[in-house]
Amino acid sequence: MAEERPAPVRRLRGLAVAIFLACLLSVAAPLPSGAGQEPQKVVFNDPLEPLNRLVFAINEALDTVILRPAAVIYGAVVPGAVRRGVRNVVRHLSLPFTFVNEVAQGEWKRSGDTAQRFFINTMVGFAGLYDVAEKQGFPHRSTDFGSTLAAWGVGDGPYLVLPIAGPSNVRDAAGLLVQGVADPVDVGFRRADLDHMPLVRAGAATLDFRYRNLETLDDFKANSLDYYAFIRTLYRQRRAFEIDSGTEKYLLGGKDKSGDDYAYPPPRPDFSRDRPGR
Amino acid sequence: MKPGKIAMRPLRLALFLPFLLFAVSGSAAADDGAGRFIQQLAEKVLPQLTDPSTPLEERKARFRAVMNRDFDVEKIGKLVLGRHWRRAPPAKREEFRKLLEDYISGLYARRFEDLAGLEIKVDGVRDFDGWSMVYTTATRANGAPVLLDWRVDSKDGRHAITDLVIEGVSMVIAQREEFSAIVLESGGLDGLMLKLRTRIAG
Repeated sequence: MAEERPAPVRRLRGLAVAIFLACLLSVAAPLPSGAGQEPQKVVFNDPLEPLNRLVFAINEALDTVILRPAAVIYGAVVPGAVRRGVRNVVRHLSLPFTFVNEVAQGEWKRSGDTAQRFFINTMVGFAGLYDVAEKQGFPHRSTDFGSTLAAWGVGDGPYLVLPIAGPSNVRDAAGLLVQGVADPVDVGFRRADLDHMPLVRAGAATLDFRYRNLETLDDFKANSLDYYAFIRTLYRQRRAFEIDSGTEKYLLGGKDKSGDDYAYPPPRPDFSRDRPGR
Repeated sequence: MKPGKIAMRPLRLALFLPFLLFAVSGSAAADDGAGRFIQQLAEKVLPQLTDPSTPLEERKARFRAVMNRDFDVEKIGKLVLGRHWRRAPPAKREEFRKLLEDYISGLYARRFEDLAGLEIKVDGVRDFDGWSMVYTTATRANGAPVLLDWRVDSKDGRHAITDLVIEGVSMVIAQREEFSAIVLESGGLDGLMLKLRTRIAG
């Protein structure tokens, strides 16, 4: 499966351990889509809710005191061109691990596009500072090891709120763990004795994310009736959509006109071939 | 592994959520398909709601009228509440329907300005038992395209919108999970209704 594995990924043992862990956990965890389940039943798979709510509250407090103010200052002080550069570099550095994951998922076409994007922006885009590739038809895409585990058939497991990292689930948390060990760029940094760089990179990515979502998260927080529950459903639905598993049964599922089972919302058909430019 | 290595996962959809239920409205001839219904909504009704030269109060009133006409708020209430709906007596259901209508219109009325110039293109339609999913792509002049899917229920030749799925996130499921959490926490539907009432008043 992984014959195209690029040279930087050598920590296979750590990877294998993490995968094993993930599989174990997800087997132990109750699956969200039990057969014969009453279709109208609400299924948020959150057995650790009290603990999750506590961690969520702590994260929120940290966000209010540190991250959000930092993002506001970042937006007010740093010029737009620099912010774009930061964003481009952060996204650029994510591409090697994205490539690894796409290969592991068997997404050959996508992995080829990712490799070309990385090559173009490294050479012409000043090591990723400018996004030249987007105009060449290679827009930014991302995936992660949680998605790879999903592609290998690992179920998502119970919802988890991780300290600092926020909303996740057992599978995606395992994915993050693997990423922490195996991200080729971070591995490279550590090899070059730039031990602080992974942290700087993560900090920049977090700041960029928080800055871009300032208004949105303010809006969600102000307008939701239960912010925790809102973020939880957002995370789960969004992940199911990104991963496009199509197997996760949602409430309101049932049978379509030809009698086939469907999940709700029903998976979106692929219209991309009718749509030029996508 | 060091802490801080874990970057926050981008909830990119977040950017689009403010668009949400704004556009849940519409008008169409009864003999048209669901896709046509959404197309007409996008072309004729949406501009009326987003036109910046119309005073905000007027736009709010229009939105309200559109919601009454082309939204099946009762069905949304049913989908959102699930078993709590089935257990509630008719008077309580009606009370909840009104609250939901107030809540939704209050939530989205103020976001109309962001939607001026939004173009909606129907990508395709999938029919289910008594309802259809209309898949569209929404584009603004200076933004990435947003996948916007509409659940349209059809009854007696009339179409009514009952859900909006934004970049894979169903508003009905989102509210259902949020409302359920509140019902569980407060020990019943009354707790949720109280919370809604407080929110609408505030």
